[in-house]
Amino acid sequence: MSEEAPTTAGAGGNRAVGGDRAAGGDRAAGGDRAVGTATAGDVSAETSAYTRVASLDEVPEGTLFGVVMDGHRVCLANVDGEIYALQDNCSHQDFPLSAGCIEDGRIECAWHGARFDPASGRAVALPAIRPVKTFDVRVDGDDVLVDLG
Amino acid sequence: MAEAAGVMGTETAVAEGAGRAKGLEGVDRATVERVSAGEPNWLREARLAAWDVFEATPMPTTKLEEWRYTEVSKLALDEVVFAPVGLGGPSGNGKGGVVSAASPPATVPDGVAEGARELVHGDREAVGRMLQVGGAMVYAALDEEYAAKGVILTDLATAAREHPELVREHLGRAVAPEAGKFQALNGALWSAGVFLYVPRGVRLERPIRVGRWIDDPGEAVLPRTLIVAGEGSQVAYIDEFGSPDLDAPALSIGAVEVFAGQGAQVQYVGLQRWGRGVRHVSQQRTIAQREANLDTLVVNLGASVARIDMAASLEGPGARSDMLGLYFAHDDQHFDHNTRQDHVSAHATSDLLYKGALYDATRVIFRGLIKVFPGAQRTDAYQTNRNLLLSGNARADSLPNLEIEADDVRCSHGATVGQLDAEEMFYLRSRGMSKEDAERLVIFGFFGEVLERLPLPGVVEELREAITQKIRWHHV
Amino acid sequence: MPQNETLEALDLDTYKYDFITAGKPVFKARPGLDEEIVRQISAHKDEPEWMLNFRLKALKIYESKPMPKWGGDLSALQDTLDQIYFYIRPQDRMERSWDDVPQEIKDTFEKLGIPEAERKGLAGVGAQYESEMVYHSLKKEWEDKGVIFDSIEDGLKNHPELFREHFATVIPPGDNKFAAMNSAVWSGGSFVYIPKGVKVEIPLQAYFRVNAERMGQFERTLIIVDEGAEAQYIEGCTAPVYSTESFHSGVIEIIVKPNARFRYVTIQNWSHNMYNLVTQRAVVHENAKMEWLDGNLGSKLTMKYPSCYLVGEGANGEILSIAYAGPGQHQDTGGKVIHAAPRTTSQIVSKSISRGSGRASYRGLCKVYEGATGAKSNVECDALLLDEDARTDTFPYIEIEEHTASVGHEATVSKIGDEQIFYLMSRGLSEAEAAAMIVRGFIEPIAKQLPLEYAVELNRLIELEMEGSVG
Repeated sequence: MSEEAPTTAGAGGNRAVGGDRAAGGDRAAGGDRAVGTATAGDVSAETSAYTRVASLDEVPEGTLFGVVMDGHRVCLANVDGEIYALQDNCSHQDFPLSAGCIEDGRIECAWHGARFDPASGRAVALPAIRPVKTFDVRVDGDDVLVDLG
Repeated sequence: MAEAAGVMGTETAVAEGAGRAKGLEGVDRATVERVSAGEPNWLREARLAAWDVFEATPMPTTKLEEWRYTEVSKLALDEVVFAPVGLGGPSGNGKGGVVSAASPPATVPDGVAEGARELVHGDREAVGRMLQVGGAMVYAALDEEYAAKGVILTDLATAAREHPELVREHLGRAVAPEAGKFQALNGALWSAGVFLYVPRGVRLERPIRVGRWIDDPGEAVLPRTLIVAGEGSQVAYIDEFGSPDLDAPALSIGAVEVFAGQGAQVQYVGLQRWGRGVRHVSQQRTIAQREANLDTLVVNLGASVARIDMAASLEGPGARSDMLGLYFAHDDQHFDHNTRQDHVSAHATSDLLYKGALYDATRVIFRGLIKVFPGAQRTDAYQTNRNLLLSGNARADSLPNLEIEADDVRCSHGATVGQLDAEEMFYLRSRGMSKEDAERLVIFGFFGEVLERLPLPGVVEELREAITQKIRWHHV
Repeated sequence: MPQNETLEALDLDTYKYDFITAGKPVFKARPGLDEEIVRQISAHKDEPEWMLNFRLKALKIYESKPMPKWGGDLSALQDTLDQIYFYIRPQDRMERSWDDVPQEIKDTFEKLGIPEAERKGLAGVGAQYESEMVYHSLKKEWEDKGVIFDSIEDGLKNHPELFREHFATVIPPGDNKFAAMNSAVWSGGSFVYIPKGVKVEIPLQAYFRVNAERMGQFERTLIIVDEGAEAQYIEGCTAPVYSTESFHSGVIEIIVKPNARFRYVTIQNWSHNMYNLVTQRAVVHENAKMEWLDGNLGSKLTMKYPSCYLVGEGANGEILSIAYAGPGQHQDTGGKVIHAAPRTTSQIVSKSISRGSGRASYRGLCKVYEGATGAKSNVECDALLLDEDARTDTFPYIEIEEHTASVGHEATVSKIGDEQIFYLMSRGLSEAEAAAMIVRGFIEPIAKQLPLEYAVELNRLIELEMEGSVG
């Protein structure tokens, strides 16, 4: 069993621990063209795109929490104390991932059991094949902030 | 994108003008009673019965097979005002107007938009014409010669009063409220109705043309068409839907019922050319008796979202239905087609060909069913769906289904999805043709199979122009 | 293919495998399904805790999912499930030598010709009786090359890492109600591993037999074909006819790694009171090839759609399907191909025959994801109707998101031709022989893909089914 560490290269952006501010990081596959290519000089613009979507205690360890942000469904996941943000639609049949569970460090869809790596959004168990989008997330005190990019 | 607009739209959930609320919230039995004011009792009862079915039927979701690929939210039900004739005025947008108590005038009233006028005049050849603007029929004219032969062309409400037996015998029989949520809604609240009756043996040399027009965003209209063609009669009927491009949703939920008596030859053509913003739902069924030919053509070019149900029932031996479909989608248009070929009788034939081309981020669905009922021996039934994907983000879903409960049948279906033939394009380009010209040639080659089978030169010409225009837009 | 086989050679005019073997199992759980049964099964197998947890979670998923409303008629299934035995342990351990298998079980398989088949030169043979594999053997030649062909239980015990890395990644319990059920109560089935570059030229075979009345069989098979390897696996299934319904729900997961080739052949001939609801799926990597050859002749209701998930560039999937639905039978079968990588190709060929009140339905999916550039898929379905009560359906789903894909689907429905029958009878054949010959010709394109013995067997089975069918 290859238990992948959640912080693989190129997928750091959608992970946040405690008050730690996630660096710009690469967007996951399908990331938005306009903002996703922002350079280091755009940090202020980046920061302003973070919006509070939940309080930390709404996402206890080992759980998922669904929020709606500017009309986009976002699934927050707390895997071993780290918060991740992903598009809240399973890439298999569009079911909300936040209705599923965390199993072996992966997000499991409740409808057909497809699994996703929380850091990269990669599908790791059929019937899903395509990744889900991931979003930059950070925790500021008790607030969980997400940048839709 | 449609959903995003939907979310924003709910922010302003109150209509202007008449101040009627948007969506179906405020619509109830009393609304149905008001719509039915002045109508015969049997019709009011039919409407109320349809309303009961509507209330008892859950709103379809994508878990329902027939709605698997189209979320009902795309229809923007909450962003339009359901204000049929007699409530907020004929156009349904609260602008006021004549309550339809008499049959429509025989001239197009002043103030009707030029686009609407064009739908029934200009070079569109016809022996009879009607025009719907908003929620009401505003014009009806029939050549004297055919009126004298007993042909009836009038609005459905008038017909229900003046020819109750004819209307009562057929209305709701082909498209029953029980068929689904929107069939029931139309059955309860229809207002812009057309009734065409062609008596036994009467043959119309040129088509009947009916224009259906929406002026403004926020309107919900519920048109209905009832065509009864007597034994051995002949008629071609063309419904054409048009509007300007709208910056917010409007909605048309229609029902079409066509009856062809023994040996009749009937053609029904629906040309959906709404402007952007319009949501189009149309539920249609044709019923062909012994030796009747009942052919249909469904065209989808306009609207933002179109959901078409077209069914043919073959109810007598020797009956035949040719079912053609042509669609061409661009930008983010979403077209969902559902067809049925119901072989109830033995010795009948149906032949379906739906072809479509897709540009941009469009989505098109074809779901067809050939159903051969027990005992319908000697059935010939064919079904073909072909899709041409012209660009990267387009999506085509094709579900050609067969359910066969008789054994002495010839049935086949085929579906293909493919792209422009690269070699053919290369050849044409190497001959010095522009990309647009080459593409047009190939696309016309693709649609040719449908256009050739259409014996209505005027309509073919109109379609050629519309297709050319779409290709031109794409290349601008 | 034999063209002039006469029916006289076949003395049976009823279901050929209708015999019951006496003998006492070593353990039989009480009927029905609940947590206690799941724990019992797990305890009998002396499993690691993660597997028990996996089973218990799967049971919850199973209980939460509604009975499917599509496909066949499952309205009476719950009653059957309340009465069947989910676990029957026929003997204490699995044997590696045929001589050590208990006599009554041996008798069963002797009648079915299993050891005979092995002598004919299979690479390996497995036999499942009720809930457990009773016998598994692999020729030394292949064992020496690192091939693993074992019961699924021994796979878990002896190769825990390889097992856990792949198990339930192709078909998770949540996939569908019956995959969840299998995940909770699975027992028996094969674990196969073909190492890199090893080409096993002769087939591996597994035989599944249900003997007890009101039995549920839930085998689970996991097959990993490593890079550049090649193999073929054949499964056969039978059961005696009881007056009560039985139930079979297998889960078959296959991983075909880059440049590998694998073929999975099923000849399903369950008795006509068996519900057969199976999930079979292969994930196919770069330039690999997967073939499903699926013959469904038996059972009361079969719902089975072997799938190929083409996830690597240039992967190829083929599904060849034959279904025969006689009186009272419903074969709801077909296949799914999912194109998720460039230049992937697939083909589905389905032939079905319906007779009497039999109903054969083709249900299939061809999906091309955006980015699967140049994907090509072709589907052909032909249905043959033998009489006026027979019924056939075709339900293909074609979902295309990639504009450079090229996808075609064609289906035809036809009646057995009176002229053909008349012609053959004029040449001295009886009507039944003529009909059988026409049916043979109809399925030939698929039958000829089978190893010879199986082609012969398939033809015999169809002739048996056809007896007395015409006239």
